[in-house]
Amino acid sequence: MKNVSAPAGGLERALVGVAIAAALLGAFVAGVWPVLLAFSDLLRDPGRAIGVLLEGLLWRRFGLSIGIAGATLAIALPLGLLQGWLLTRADLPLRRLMLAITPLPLFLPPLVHALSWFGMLRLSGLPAIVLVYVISFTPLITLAAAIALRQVGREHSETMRLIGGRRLVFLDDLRQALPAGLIGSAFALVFLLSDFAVADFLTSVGAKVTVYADALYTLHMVGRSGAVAGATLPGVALCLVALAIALRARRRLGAAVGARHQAAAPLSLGAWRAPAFLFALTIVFAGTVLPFGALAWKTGSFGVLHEQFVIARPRIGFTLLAGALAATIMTALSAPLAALTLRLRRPWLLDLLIALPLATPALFYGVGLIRAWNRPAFDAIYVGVGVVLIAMVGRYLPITLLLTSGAAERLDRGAFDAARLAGAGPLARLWRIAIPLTMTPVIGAWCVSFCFTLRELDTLIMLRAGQSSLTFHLYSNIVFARSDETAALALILSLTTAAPLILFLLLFRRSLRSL
Amino acid sequence: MQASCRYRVPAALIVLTAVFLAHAIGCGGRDDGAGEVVLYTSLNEPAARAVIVAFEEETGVRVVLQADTERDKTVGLVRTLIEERNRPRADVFWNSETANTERLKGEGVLERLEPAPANAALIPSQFNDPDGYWFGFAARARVLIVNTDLVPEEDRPTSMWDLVDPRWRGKGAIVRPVTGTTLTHIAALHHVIGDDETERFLAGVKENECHLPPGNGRLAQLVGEGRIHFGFTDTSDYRLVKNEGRPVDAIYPDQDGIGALVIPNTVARIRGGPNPENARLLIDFLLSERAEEILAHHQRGHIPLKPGVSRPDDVLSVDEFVAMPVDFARIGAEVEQRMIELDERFQ
Repeated sequence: MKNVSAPAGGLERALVGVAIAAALLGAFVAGVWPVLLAFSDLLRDPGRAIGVLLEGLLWRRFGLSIGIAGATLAIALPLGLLQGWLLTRADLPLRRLMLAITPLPLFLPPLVHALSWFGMLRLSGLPAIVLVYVISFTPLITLAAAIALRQVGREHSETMRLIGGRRLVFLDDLRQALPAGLIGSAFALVFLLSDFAVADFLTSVGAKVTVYADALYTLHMVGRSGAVAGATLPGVALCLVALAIALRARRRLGAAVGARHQAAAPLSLGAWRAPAFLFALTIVFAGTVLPFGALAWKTGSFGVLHEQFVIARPRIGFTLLAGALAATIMTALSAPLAALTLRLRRPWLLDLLIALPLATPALFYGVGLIRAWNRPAFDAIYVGVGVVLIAMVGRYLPITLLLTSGAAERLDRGAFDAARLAGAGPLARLWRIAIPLTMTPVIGAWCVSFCFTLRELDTLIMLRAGQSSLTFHLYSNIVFARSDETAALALILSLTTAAPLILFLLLFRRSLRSL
Repeated sequence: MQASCRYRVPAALIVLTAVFLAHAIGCGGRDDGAGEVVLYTSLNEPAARAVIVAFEEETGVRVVLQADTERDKTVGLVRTLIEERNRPRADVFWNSETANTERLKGEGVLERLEPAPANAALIPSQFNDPDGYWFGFAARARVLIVNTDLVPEEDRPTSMWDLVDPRWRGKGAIVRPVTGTTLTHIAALHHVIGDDETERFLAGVKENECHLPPGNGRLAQLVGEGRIHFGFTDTSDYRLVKNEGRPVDAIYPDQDGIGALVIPNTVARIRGGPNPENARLLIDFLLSERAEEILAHHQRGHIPLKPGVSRPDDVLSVDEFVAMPVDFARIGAEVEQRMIELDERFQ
C-alpha cells in the first residue's frame, strides 16, 4: 500500500524535502529542544537525579497515580467504546445530537468538573477522583471510537450481519474501534498523570491522596533541579510508551479501514433499543448536562455571565487568537510530518520525538522553554505571544499529527500517480487532490488541536504573555472570586472553546454527513 | 457550487489567520524598558491590580504584571525567576509570604537595596530582611476560622493545641504544610516552641485525623460550608468567606501564650532587572502608607504594619493582638529542609 508512487522528479523531491525539513525543524525547535534543555539537569546533577529515583516515596506516589489512571481507564475505555458504538452504529433516537454534545466535557479542565457538581454533592476521596477523571476523559474515547466506526463500510457490515447476526457485527465493530479507543486512552493517561489539582481538591476532607504530579511540584518547590529531572523520568517513560502505542494503533487503524466504502446503515437494536438509549442518555447526562447545568445554576443570572464576559473580553480575544494561530501552525507542520511518517519504514523514533513534549510534565517543559528562548536574539519572541505559540505547538503537535497522518494514510495513492502521469505538478496535486480529499479531517484536526491549546495552563503560567489566556484568568479566580463568577468564567471558557467547533460543524455539515 | 464552497472556506480561514498573525505581531515586542516596570507576584491578579492601578496613576510608570494562581502555589513563578536568573526579565518580586523570598535570596536572584527604601523605615524591623534584600508590608495573621453554627461560643478553640485535642478528632483542619503560609507557620513553630513540641503538634495533627485541604482559601470555604468545624487559615481567606455571609468567626490563637503568627507580604528587587529605577519606585510605593491602606480596604483585608494607616474596623492592627515573635530570615534559611520533612510526613 505504501510508496507505490512512481519516481518523483527533482524539483518535486526538493520541494517535498524542504517542506519536511522545515516541519522537522519546527517540531524540534518547539518541542524537542526545550525538553532536552530541561533534562540537561540530569547531567548537571546526576547524584540527586539518581537519589530521587531510589526513594520509595516517589514510586509509591507514581504507583498511586498509575492505580488511579488504571481504574479510570478500566471504566472509561469500555464505557467510551460502547457509547461510541451506540451513537455511531445503533438506531438510537437523538444519537446525532448526543454525539454532537459528547465533546463538551473536554472543554472544561477536570478541576472545574470537580468544582462544579462534585462540590455540591460533597463527594470526596479516591472513588470521587476516579469518577471525575472518567467523566472528563470518557468523551475522548467515545469520539475516537466514533471516528473509527464511521469508517466501517456498508458492505462489510452487511456481510458480518449475514454471517453472524447482530452479535458478530457488534463484536467486529468493537474490534475496529478498539485501536481508536486505545488512542483516546493513551492521551487520557498523559493528561491524567500530569494533573494533581483534582486529587488535591477532592481529598480536602478525609484521607489525603498525594499523587505523582504533586510530588513533582514539591520537588520544584524544594528547588533541586537534578531531583526534578530524575523524578520526571518515570512519568515521561510511561507516557511515551502509551503515546507510542497510540501512534502505532493509528497505523493499524489506517490499515484496517483501508479505502472507505459507503457508510454502514445504523443497526437495529430491537428489544435492546430502550435500555441502550437510557445508557447513552445517562452517559451524556453525567458528562455534559449535569456539570454544565450545575455551572449555569451556580452562575445564577445572565447578568453575572455578561459581567464576566465584559471583564474577560480581551482575554477571549487573545485566547482565540493564540489558539487559532497555534492550531494553524500545528496543522501546517503536521502535513509534511505525516508525509514523512508514511515514507519511513520504522517511524517510531520520529513519533517518539514528537510525542516527547506532551509526555513531559508541562511545568518541566516550561523550564526548558525559558532556557531555550530567554536569549538576547529572541527578545521579541520571549516577552510576546511568540513563545506562547511555541509552547502550544510544542506540546500539542502529536495530537494534530495523529489526526492528519491518519487522514494521509487513507489517501488513495493511485490518484496521485495518475495525476503525476497526466503531467500534474506537485502543487497541482496538493491543491487538487490532497487538500480536497483531506480537507474535512484536517480541519477536524485543527479544531481538536485548538481545543487542547485552550486547556494549557502549567506552561503558560511561566510565560508573561501566557497570563493573558482565559484559562489562566479562570484559575486566577478559583477560590478568590465568588462561586457564581467562577462558574460564569468556566461557561465562557467552554463557549470560547466551542466556537470554532460550532463553526466547523456549520460549514462542513454536508461533508460530515457523508462520512 | 460545492467545489467553490470548498475553496471559499479555506481561503476565509487563511485570511482570518493572517489577520490574527498581524495582530499577534502587534502584541509582542513592546518591551522597550522605558516607563515600565515588570512585576512578578505570587498574589492572584485581581488582588494585586488594586495597588498597581494606584501606582500607575501616581507615577505614570506602566506595570507589566506576571501573577500566580492559587492552584500553582507560586511554584511556576519562583522556578521562572530562578531560570531567568542569568537574563532577568522581572524587576520586582512581590510575594505574599516570606519563605520563597528567602529562597530566592539564597539562589542569588535578589539584589540588596542600598540605601533601603525610605518607606521601609516605619515598618517594624522584624518584618524586614536584616541583610536588606527584602522588605515586609501589609501582613496576614494565622487565625483559627470557626464555623459558628457548628461550634457554640463557649466551646470555641483558642489555641493551636485544640487541633490535636481528642475532643476535636476529625473536625479540625490545617493545610498540608508543604507550601505557603502554613509551611512558614510550621517552620516558625520549630523556633518558637522548639523541635520536640512542634513534633508533638505535627504527630497530633495526624493522629487526631485533621483534614488537609490544598490551600487556605479552600480550608476557609470548607469551614464556611460546615464541612469542617474549624482550622488554621490566613485572615485574608477568612475575610473572603466572612464577606460571603458564611457563619464564621476568626480566633487569634494562643493569646495567653506564643501568640498568632503574622506573615507580611514581602517585596524585593531582582538582581540585574531591566528597569532598576522604576523597580525602586514600585518597591517604595508598595511600602507606603497608601499601598497598605489600599490592601487593608481590599476584600482580603491585609493588616497594615505601619502605625496610623486607615483600615476597616474588622481588620485588626498588630498592636491589638499578641503576635508570635519570629525571625523570618532564620525560618527562610531552613524552609527547604522543613518542606522535605513535612512532605514525607504528610504524604
